[in-house]
Amino acid sequence: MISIADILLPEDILLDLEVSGAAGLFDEVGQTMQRWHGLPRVVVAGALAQREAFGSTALGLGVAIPHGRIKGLNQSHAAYVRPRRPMPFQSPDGKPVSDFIVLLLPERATDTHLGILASVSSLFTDPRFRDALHACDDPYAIQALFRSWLAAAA
Amino acid sequence: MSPADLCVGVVACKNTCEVATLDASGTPEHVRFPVSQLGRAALRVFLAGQSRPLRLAVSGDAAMGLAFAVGPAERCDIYIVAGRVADHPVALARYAARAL
Repeated sequence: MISIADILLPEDILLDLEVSGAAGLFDEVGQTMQRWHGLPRVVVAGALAQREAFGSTALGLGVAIPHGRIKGLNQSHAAYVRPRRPMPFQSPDGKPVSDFIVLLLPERATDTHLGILASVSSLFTDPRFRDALHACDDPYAIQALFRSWLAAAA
Repeated sequence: MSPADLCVGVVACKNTCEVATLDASGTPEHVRFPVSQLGRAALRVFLAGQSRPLRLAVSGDAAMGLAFAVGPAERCDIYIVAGRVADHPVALARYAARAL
């Protein structure tokens, strides 16, 4: 099963992003996906917004997992976004979100989707991981952190 | 099960939450969610975001609580299943697929 460590690349890690709302964040992710992976910006932002309309993807403890399914997509993509300031995102615990794990999935990728949600929720449940992540300000170090913690948990 | 349905099996116990999915397209795999605020929320996010009808079969000591916590109301059938009937998430997903 594909893990987030397999698909999270340094170029898809956006730190200190200056955005004030979900639409701006989704557009920034769309721009990144267009630049590095050739996915149309509008399609990416639209898919994320469409899923969010079903209900918030915030989990609590400052974490959210916005995700969208894209017709014709051959492989899953992920981004990690840390806004400059935590954003309100209709979290179940009312806390603003500081860590966004964004997923773009093929239309039929149920197992991948489930596996990534399980692994991300496991990682972020551990306060030591959250502290280590927040201490990182380099995309390569963040990618390595995800990989090492997931490998240790396997 | 209609080919468009997604069937989900969950074994929810005090210390574990194992989940499997079954649809018309593939072989079921199962994963383990943490028994935590984030684990429950992630499972709820997964179920609530499905655009197709869901069948959810739940077993285990914490089945009832989990069903109420994560079960979306619309287009979702929820079955609380005794452990002696099915006690593995894949078996529960298959149970959901067979249920009328």
